[in-house]
Amino acid sequence: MKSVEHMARQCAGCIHFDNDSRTLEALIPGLSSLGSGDGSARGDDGYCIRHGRFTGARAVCAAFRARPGG
Amino acid sequence: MTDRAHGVSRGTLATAATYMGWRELWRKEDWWAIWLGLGIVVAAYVLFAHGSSLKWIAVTPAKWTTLDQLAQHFVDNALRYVAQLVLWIVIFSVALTALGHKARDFVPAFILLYLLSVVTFAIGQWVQAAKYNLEPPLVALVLGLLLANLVRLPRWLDAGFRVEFYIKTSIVLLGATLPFTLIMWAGPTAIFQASIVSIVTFLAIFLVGRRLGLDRRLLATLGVGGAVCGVSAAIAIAGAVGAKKEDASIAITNVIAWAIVMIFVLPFAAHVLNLSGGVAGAWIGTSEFADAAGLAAVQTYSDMMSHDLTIGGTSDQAVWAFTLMKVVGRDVWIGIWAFLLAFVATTRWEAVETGRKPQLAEIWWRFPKFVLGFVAASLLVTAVTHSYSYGDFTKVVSPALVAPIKDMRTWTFIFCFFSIGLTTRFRELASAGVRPALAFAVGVVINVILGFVLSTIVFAPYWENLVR
Repeated sequence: MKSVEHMARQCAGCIHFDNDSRTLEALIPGLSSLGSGDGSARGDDGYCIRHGRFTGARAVCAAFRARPGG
Repeated sequence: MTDRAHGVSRGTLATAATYMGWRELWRKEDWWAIWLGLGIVVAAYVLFAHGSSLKWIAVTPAKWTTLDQLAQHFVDNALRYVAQLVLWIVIFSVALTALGHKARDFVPAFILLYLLSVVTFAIGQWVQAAKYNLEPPLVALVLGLLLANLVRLPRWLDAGFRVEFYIKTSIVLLGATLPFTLIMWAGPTAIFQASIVSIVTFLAIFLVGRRLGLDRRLLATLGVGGAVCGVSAAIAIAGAVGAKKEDASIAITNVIAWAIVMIFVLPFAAHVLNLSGGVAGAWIGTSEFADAAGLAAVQTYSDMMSHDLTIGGTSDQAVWAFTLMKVVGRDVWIGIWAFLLAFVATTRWEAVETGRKPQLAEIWWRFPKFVLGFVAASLLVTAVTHSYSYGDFTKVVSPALVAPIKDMRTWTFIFCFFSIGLTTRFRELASAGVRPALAFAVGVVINVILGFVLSTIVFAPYWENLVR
């Protein structure tokens, strides 16, 4: 079982990470043309502005910075 | 603070990131497609069971020869069209609001989309339409592309042009018109054929790309985009392997470019080759990249079939074979591809900064849930109609229960086809890149040829004999 501390440091709680579907559709040209940010296939993946990469909400990395109030 | 390289502000990114969990039931369009699609099917059945029918509100333009006839049809049925428009607005608004869209943007955008769809549907019902290749999917797509690329429509209108939401709802409704026994009978063949083509296509893109010196994460995104389910696959794999934003953009540009080309090429090629409905549907299902583009292609072929009696099989067979191949055969594997590639990426490839351990649960998280609605709709209608004889089914059940569901499905198809055109702005797409485009093109050629051989020779007896 994962510790609360580990979960608290996952990308979902990081200021660099966003998995909002509207943000992702604005970020990737064509995503809403033959696809969607709202589909199940994406899971809860999002975009990390720090590394310029897509990643999962459960990923962890050394550059974690807690979201204000998170 | 702004990240210039990625074009988004840190303020934008500071919105609440979330785990999906049970929230998926009302925060993902796959589930909303199920709720809306099954809701329509259940409503149709309740009305049918009480001696009524959904057909009053499932109005569609009738065949016409003169403009006077067409005008008279709209005068006679104006109230039905208004009621249908209100129904669509209400159910789609509820869903899209839950998904985080603004109803005040959606409603005017959808009214525009509906009016364009009525015009397109009416054009397709002109008795001379086939002579000029005015199939509704092609008309909707071309008009949409012209509007999006020659007239700069306000960006907020995109709230009404939800390609994937409309096509997923269509596929759930399509399940109601496809016998469950057929899914059981042809499903394994579809899965087998689709698996062969998907694996070969992925390996072709990946290996050619490696020879061209391209990055593995880009190639994984590009390869699964071509081999499984287009844009949805590309974004899923980008997240699974930790691809860069540019990788996803390149993959999506390649998928969109080829998918649009194939909407025109595949139905006309199938027509020239005089392929029967089932065989053509299987070929298109194996060779198109996105569900929406594939359904546009196969619906175009269905429309061609209804005007050309030299083509064998039925238009239903074309749509059924396509759906079995694309949805059952290919789409459902996206979670497995994501899991396997995430595993390979973290254990074999060079490390990236964002670490994640692949989890088996990912296969379910990424499963395209609308497929469950498609199967449930098929099971439901098959269960409530199995006691009818073939004669009663044709005379009673089909016109009062199945036909109105099919008409509602045709509307959602047209909303989708128009939305493809209206949201495809070529000037905004990222560059496809010369080497990625070359690798992807090799995959496309192999995919089309292999899909053709498997559909027309190896598994042809299955696809030619899809019957109720």
